[in-house]
Amino acid sequence: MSTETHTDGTRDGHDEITFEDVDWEEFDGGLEWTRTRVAAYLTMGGIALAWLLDSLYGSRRDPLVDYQFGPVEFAPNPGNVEWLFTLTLAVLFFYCLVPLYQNPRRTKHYWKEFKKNKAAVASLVFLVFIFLVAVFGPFIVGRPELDLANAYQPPVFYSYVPGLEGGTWEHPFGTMQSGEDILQTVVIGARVSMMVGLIGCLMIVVLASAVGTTAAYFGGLVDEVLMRFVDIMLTFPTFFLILFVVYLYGGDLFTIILILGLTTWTATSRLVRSEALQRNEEQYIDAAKNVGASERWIITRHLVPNVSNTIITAATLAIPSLILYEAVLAFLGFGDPNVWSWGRVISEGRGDLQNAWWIATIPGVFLFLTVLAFNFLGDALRDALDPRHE
Amino acid sequence: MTMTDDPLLSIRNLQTYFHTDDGVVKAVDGVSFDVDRGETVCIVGESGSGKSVTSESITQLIPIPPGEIVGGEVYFDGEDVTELSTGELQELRGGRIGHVFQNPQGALNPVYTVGYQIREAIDAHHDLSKAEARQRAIRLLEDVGIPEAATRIDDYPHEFSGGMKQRVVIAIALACEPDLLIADEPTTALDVTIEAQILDLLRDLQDEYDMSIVFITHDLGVVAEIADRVVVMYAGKVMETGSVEDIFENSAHPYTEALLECLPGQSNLEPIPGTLPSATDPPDGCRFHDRCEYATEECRVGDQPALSEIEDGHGVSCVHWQRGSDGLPEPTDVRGPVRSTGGER
Amino acid sequence: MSTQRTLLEVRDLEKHFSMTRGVLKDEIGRVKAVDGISFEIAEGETFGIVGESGCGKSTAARTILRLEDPTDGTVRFDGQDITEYDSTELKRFRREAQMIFQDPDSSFDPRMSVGESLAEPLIVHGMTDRERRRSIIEKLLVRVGLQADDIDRYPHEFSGGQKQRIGLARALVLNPRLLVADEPVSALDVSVQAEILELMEDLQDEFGLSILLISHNLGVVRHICDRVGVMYLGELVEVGPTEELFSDPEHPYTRALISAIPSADLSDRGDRVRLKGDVPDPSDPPRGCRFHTRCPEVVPPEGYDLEQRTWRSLLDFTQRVEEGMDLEAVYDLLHPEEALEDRDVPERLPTSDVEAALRSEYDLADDIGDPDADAVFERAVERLASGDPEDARETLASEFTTVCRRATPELERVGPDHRTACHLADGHQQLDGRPADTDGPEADRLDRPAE
Repeated sequence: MSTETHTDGTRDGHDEITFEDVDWEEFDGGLEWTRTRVAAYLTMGGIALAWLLDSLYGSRRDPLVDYQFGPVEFAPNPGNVEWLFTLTLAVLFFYCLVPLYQNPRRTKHYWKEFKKNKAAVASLVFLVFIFLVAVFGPFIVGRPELDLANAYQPPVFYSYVPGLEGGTWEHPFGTMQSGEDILQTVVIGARVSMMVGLIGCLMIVVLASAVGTTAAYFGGLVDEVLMRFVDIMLTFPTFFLILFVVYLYGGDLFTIILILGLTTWTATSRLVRSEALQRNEEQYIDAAKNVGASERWIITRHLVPNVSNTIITAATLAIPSLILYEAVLAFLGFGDPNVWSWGRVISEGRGDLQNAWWIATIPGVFLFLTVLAFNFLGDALRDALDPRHE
Repeated sequence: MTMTDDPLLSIRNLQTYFHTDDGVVKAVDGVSFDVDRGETVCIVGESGSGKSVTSESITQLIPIPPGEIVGGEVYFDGEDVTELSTGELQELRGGRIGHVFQNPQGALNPVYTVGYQIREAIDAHHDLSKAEARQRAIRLLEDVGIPEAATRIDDYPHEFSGGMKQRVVIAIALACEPDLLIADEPTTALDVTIEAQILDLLRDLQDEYDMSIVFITHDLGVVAEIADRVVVMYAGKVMETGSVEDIFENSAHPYTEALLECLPGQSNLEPIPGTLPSATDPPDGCRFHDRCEYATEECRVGDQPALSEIEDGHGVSCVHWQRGSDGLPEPTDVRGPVRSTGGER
Repeated sequence: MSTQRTLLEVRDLEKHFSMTRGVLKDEIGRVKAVDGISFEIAEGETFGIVGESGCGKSTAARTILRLEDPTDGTVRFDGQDITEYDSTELKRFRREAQMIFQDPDSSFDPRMSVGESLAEPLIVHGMTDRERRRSIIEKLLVRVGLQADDIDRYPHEFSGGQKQRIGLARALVLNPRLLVADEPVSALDVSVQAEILELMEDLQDEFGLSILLISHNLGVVRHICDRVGVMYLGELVEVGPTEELFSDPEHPYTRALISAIPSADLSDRGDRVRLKGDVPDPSDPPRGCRFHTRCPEVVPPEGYDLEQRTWRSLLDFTQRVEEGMDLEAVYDLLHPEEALEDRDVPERLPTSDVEAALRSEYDLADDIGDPDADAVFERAVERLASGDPEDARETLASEFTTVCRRATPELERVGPDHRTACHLADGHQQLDGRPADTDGPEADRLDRPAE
C-alpha cells in the first residue's frame, strides 16, 4: 500500500499484512475457539453429564456429598429440577453476565439508562437478594420439618395478647399448623419460584427466539408452518394439560416447569417474529449475505442480537406470570406435594387467617414483592435496551 | 393581505439549546434573519448546522425539554411568537404557518384517506360544512397538481407514489392558506426528477397563495432553483446571508465558496476537509476556521465575527471581510490527505 | 479502457417477481423489475446505471451479485456464468464482488462495533487469527480516512459520511475485483457526497477495482463513471461513454435526467425539461416504447399538424381513456363536491360541460391548432358524455396513434460505443417525427425548452 501504515508496531508479524496480501486459498473456515466459548461448552457439558450420571446411578435418598461447615450443612441431593436449574444458571452466566463483563462500554451505557428508574434499581437489589436466598438459603436454614410441639408459633415481636409471651427468635416468622418453620418454607419457596421463573424464562427465550427469527428470516413456507404451529399452541389450554398430567402422573415440579415452559413461549415468539421481520429488511442483513455468510450465521449473529431487547423484555415480563402460575397451581392443590412452594403455604394458611394470619401472609408478601419486582425490572429493561436511546 | 414594509417573519438573535447527557448543545446560537412577504428564503447548511432546529424553533416544534429557546425573539407579523401560549401556538401552526417535512411517508396517516386528512386540517381552523370542506380539499389537491383530484381524494396514502405523497402533504400545509410555509428538506427523499417537479410546484403555489416560504436544504443546487434570499448556516451560526445572486455569483464567505465547490454535476469536485466541530464544545473564533483555507491567527480567537454588510443586504461573518475592502487573503493549504477525525454523535 | 479485459458481462438479464394471492399462491401478475438488460464492465472501469426509483436498477445490482436469482439471462464474471454457481463457488464469488449500500444508518449492525462489522467478512471466509484481522482492519480504516482506534467504536458514533467510509472499508476488506455501489451518496449531505466520490475514485485507482455505480442522480454518476447506462422500467434506453452521453444525449429520457441535475447555475432557473408524473407500474408496462407515456418528445401521428405540447396532452387524454374513463370518472370531474356515497350519475352528461372540463383538465386550448385533431377530440368527448367509453377509446386509438406506441424500439448503435433505444434516433422517423423547426441531429436539442 502506498499510504502510511499507522500502527504502533507492537503486534509482531502482522504489521506488514494488509487486506491485499491475504491468500484466501489457505483458509478453509472453521469455528473460532475463544476461551469463553471453551469454558462455556465445558461447563454446560459437565453439568449435563453429571445430571445424566446422577439420574442413572445416583440415589434418590442420599445426598451427593455431605459437608458440615459449622451451622451450614452442604448436602445437595439434586433432582431433575435442580440439575436443570444449575444448567440454567450456567447459561445465564455465560450468555448474560460474561458478555456484559466483556463489553464494559455497552454495560455502562445500559446501566446509565437503567438506573434512571429508581424503582427498578430497588427491584433489582431485592431480586438479587431473593436469588441468593434461593440458591444458598436452604443450605443455611435447612428444610422445614414436622414439629407438632411448636405448632402455631407467632412471629417474633408479635403476641396474641399484649403482655403475653409471643414469638421467639427460634422461629422468627412463626410456624405453621404442624410446626414447620415459616422462614424455612419461605426460603425453600423462594428457590421454587426462582426455578420456575428462570428455567421457564430460559425455555421461552430459546424457543421464542429460535422459532421467531427462523420464521422471519426464511419467510414463505417455513414461516407459514411455524406460525400456524404457534397459533395452534396459543389455543392450547395449558391449565387443563397440567391438570391432566397431574391427575395421571402426580404433580412433579419438573414436569410442571417443563409444561409451563413448553406452552408459554408462543406469544413471545410472535413478538420476536414481527421484530425480526423489520430487522430482516435492514441493509446489514444484505451486507452479511453479500460476504457469503451462512443462514445460521446471519440468524445468530445479526437477527437474534438485534431482537434481544424484545426477547429479554418479554421473557423478563413472563417470569412473574410463570411464578404466579405455579403459585396458583399449588394453591389449588395441583402442585408438587413434596415441595414447599409459596402458593402451597398460602393455600395451607388460608383456613387459619383468623387466628394465625402469618402463615398465609408472610409468603404472600414475598410472592407479591417478587412478582412486582420482576414487572418493574422488565419495564426498566425495555427502556434501557431500546436501541433508539443509543 | 395588507402589504407593509415590515418583514413577515423576523428572527432576532435566536438561541436554541438542547440539554443532553454530554452537555449543552448550542444547536442555534444567535441566528438573525428576516423573511419578507412573498419571498422565499433558503436556509442552507450541512447536517448538524442547526438549520432544521432554527425552522422548528419558529413555532416551537422542538421537543421541550431537552430543547429550550434560551434567548432571542421571533416576530411573526409583528408579534413575538416566543411569548405565545400553547393554545395560541397551536392556532398558528397549520393556520398561518404551514409545515412540510422531509419524509412524506411519516407525515400521512396510513389509515385515513387523503381527503379526510386534508379536511381534518381545514376543520382545525375553519368552520365549513362537510361538502364545502370536501370541495376545498379537491381544490387543494388540484392546486398541488394531482390529476383527477375528485377521484383521488378518496384514496389512501399507500395508493400514491412518493412524489404524489409529498404533494398531498403540501396540500395539507396549504389547507388554511398560510402566510408562511416552512419546508424542511421537502425534496431530499425524492428522485431528482420528482424533486424538480416539487420545486416547480412550490414556485407556482407561492404566486397563487401569495405566501412566504422558508425552505431548508443541504443542497445548493436546490437553492439555486427556488431561493430569493439565502441564509448559509454552519455549526449554529449564520455564515453568510444575501440574495441568491449574492450567494452564487458573488459569494464572500469561504464556507459558501467551499459548499459551491463540492456540488456534484460540475466538472471538478473539491470536498471540504474535516468535519463539523463539536456541538457541545465549539472552537473559539470562527467556527469554520479549522476547515478553512483562508484561516489566519485572528480567526482562531474570540467569538464568531459579527455579520457585517459588505453590500446592501449581503452580510458575511468573516474576519477578513470585517475591515471592509481587502477581502480574503491568500489561501493556505489545509487539504492534506482526506481524513476526517472522530464523529460527533 | 476498452482494450482491457472484460470482467463482468451481463446478457439479457431478467428478474421478474410474481405477485401472488391467497394460500395457494395463484400468480396474479408479474413485476418485470429487470426486463432484459445487457452491458459489460471492463477491468478497472466504472459503469453507471441511472434511473428513477422503481426503474429496476437496484434489483439489477442485487441480481448481478446473486442476492436474487435471475429469471433469465446470464451474468458472466471473469468468463464464468455466476448463475450456474454452486454454493462453494458462490462463496468464492462473494469474496470477489462486494457491495456498498445506500443507507449508512441501516447498513451496519448497531450491536456490533466497527471492528466486529469489518471482521465479519474475514471470519466468514475463515480467518480465525484475531490479531491478524485486527491489524488488517486498522490499516484499512486509516486508508479510508478514519483512525485506527475507531475500530472499537460503534456505528452510531459516526456521521453519515464516516459510516459510508466504513462501508467502503467493509467492501474492500476481502480485496474484491468488482464493487457494486447502490446509491452510495444519495443519503448524504451534498457537501459530503463529493468526499465519498473522491475516495471511491482514489481506491479504484489504487486497487484496480471495477465499479458498478447506481444512482438516480446523473450528476453523481458523471464524476466517476467511464460509461453510463440509462435505465427506464426495467430496460436500458441508452448506453454510452459518460462525456458523450452528457454532450450528446440521444434519448429524451436521458435529456430529461440531465436537465434535472440540480446545479448552481442561476441562468436556467425554472427553464428545464420536466418529466410529468411517475414511473408507470412495472407489472403492466406501456406497450411500444415504455417511455412514451411521459416522453416530452413523443412522435406525433401522421397527418396532423400539432404542437408538441398539445400532442402530449392529447396523448395523455387518450391514455386516460384507454385505462378506462367511465361516466362516473367524468361525472367526478364535473361535480367534484359530491362525496362518493351520495353520487347519482345520470345516463348521459351535457357534452359541452364535459368538453370544457376535459379541456381544462388536460390543459387544451379551445382551438388546438388542427381542425382534424379537434374533430377527433370532440367526437371522443361526445361518446364519453353519452356513456360509451368503449367507442371513445376506439376512436382515439385509431386516430391518435404513434410509432412510439406501436413499436418497441431496439437498442441501436448511434456512435462507436453509444447505443440508444428511441424511435427518434431511427433515421427514417426523424423527418415526420419532429416538430417542424428541428430536423437536424440532436446535438443542440438540450437548449431547447421542451414544453
